[in-house]
Amino acid sequence: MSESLSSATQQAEEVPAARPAEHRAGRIGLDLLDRWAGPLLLVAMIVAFTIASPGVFLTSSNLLAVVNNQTITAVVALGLLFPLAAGVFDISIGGVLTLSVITSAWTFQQTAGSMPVPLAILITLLVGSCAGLVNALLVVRLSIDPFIVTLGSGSIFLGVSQLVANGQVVSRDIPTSFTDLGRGELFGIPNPIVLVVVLALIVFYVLEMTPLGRMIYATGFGREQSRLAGVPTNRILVLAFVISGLCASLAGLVYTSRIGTGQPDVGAQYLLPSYAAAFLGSTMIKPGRFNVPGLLVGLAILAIGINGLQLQGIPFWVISTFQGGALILAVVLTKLRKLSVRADG
Amino acid sequence: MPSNNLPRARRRRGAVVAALVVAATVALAGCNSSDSGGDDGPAASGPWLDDAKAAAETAVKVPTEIAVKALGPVEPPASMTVYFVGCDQSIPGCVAQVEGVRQATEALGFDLEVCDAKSDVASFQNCMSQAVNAKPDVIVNNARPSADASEAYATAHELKIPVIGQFTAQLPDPEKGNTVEVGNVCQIEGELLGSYIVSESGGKANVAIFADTVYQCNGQRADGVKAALDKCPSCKVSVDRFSVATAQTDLPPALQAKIQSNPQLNWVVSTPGFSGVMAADAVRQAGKEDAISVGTFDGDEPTLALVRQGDIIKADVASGVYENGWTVVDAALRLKAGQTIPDNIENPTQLLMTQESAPETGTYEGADGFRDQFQALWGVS
Repeated sequence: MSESLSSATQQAEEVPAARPAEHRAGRIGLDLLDRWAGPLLLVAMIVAFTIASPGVFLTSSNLLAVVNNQTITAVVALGLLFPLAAGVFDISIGGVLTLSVITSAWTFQQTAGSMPVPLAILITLLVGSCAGLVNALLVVRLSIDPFIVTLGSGSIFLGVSQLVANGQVVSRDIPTSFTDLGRGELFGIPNPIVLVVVLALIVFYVLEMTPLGRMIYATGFGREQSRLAGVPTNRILVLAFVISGLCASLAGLVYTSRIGTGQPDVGAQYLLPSYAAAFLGSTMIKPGRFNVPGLLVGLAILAIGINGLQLQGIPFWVISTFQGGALILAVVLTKLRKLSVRADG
Repeated sequence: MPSNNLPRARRRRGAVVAALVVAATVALAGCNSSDSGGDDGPAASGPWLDDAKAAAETAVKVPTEIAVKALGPVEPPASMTVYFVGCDQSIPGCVAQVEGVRQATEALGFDLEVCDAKSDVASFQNCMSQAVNAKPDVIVNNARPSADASEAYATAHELKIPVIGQFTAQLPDPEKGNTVEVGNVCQIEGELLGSYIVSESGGKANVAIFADTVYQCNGQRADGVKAALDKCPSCKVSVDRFSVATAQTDLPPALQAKIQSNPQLNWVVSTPGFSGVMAADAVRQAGKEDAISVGTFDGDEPTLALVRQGDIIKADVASGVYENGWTVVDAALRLKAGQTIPDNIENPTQLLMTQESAPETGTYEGADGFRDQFQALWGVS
């Protein structure tokens, strides 16, 4: 697979030739470390921050809040796994998220709050899916680089959001029955966290345990080879973009229902953490593949790292630095991994 | 490649991971936030508490008179073009400033051009350049420091186009900066909220202030809150900064960390207004709705909705949300007429909105009948 901007998936690794038994044993140990270095790092961070902030860091209140803070990013990133696994970037997620935030708030405002909540949710999800479909059609039908398409379309979605909102925050007539969804709890667990758990299980099942998931990964590892082998790669790409748009719009719904307003510039800020988590996740548990457990651990590393450092009084700019650093670290680790595999061969 | 190179590659990866852990540890060891303030003693009393209570009580009364009334009438020209360089139009407080100017120019039949300077310097410079190129009668700069667009300012001065600063948190500098400043009241707003918090807590406030760094007015508000709290020896206060440009992702974890790391915290102040809603969400997430109150500024609708319900956000200070824009247009008329006006028109009357004093609908637009008062000064109906 060519390493162009549109190639999100890491190159498939060749299975090394047979080696001496001693070397194989050493490699198994190193492979284990390779897979579990991320979770181990997470555990080490938890231990370090527990010691550094006794009675503050390791509390249910703090940990629940940390997880809850990441729910919007998590929903976006889980949807992002589909295009990334299929070998394409979707940069438009920030725009789709914003469009969904505005759509949901605007439907209530335009109807003076009388819009039924399920209908507003349905409309919003449809808007997000359609946005994904537009991306897909441009990529598949016109064979335009996905990176360029989604960079442009994301900006258009932001512009449309501004247009719909008239450049203002949409905040009137958002019913409490809607905000209760984002602020409520199920058995003491905030609803957004419940949503992320359910969504993660679904995405995990689809990607890891279904033929569809295997076809998505196959498309990512070699689109042309997969097509020749009978994989409907175009349909896979369409599906990947639609799911990505759907999840971004779901994240928008979480945002609006939690904050209770529609901000017309909210989405772009979720791009970096989503990509950082996805790429960091691809270096662990199933290294070289975008995978759900890795993504969740990657997200946790980012969230715990930021929370732990902030409990020590680290200023706000550390967050962007930390997320950007994690993204670069993930790419560096991937590169080193490739080098090690080539050396092995 | 020989197989003995493989462990070296592995070691490199291990070294990168180790570097991350070391970096985190170093950061942990090196950084701490600063708190200042008094103690946690049981009793709190003193003249400072009486002063705070008096200030808070006064601040909930809607003023009846606009400040520029003292300057006397002014005759508007037949036509005029106002070019408004607005701060980020996705921030409700910024939108309100445009709306006030729009209302006033419509009342006079003037033309109004608006440019959204967003929250970055490049957009502000672009808007200021467009403003100068449009050669209006007056330019209004809402909230940005003049130094961020010094070239455009210089050209405006050359072309004799006056620039009115609105909430720029700067004093006028007719040579290089704003010709006149309207609404240099950010510090006063902060002091009002600080006094209210001191009063409400009975002198036992433990406050975390979060202030945006993009707009200097927010910094002045933070200074004002802190100044009021510093008069209270039994209060505690910390100040943290953030950028509105990255607030959606950066502010929630910062709020959460502050709430978790300070169990005695009973107030969070966040500015600008939309960040107050985010602070309320953080308090809700932490399950501390009963323990922590939020105070904020700007009189935004989502904020006031929570204020009216008594839901976490307990106070919001705004300065005549639309009156401010009318005052800007009034200043433009006076400049055009060659009147001598004060450097700083502190007109936009401040109001502290609580569950008891917030308007039932809408926001605090300004002094009672301010539109009629302005139109009377201008001789229009």
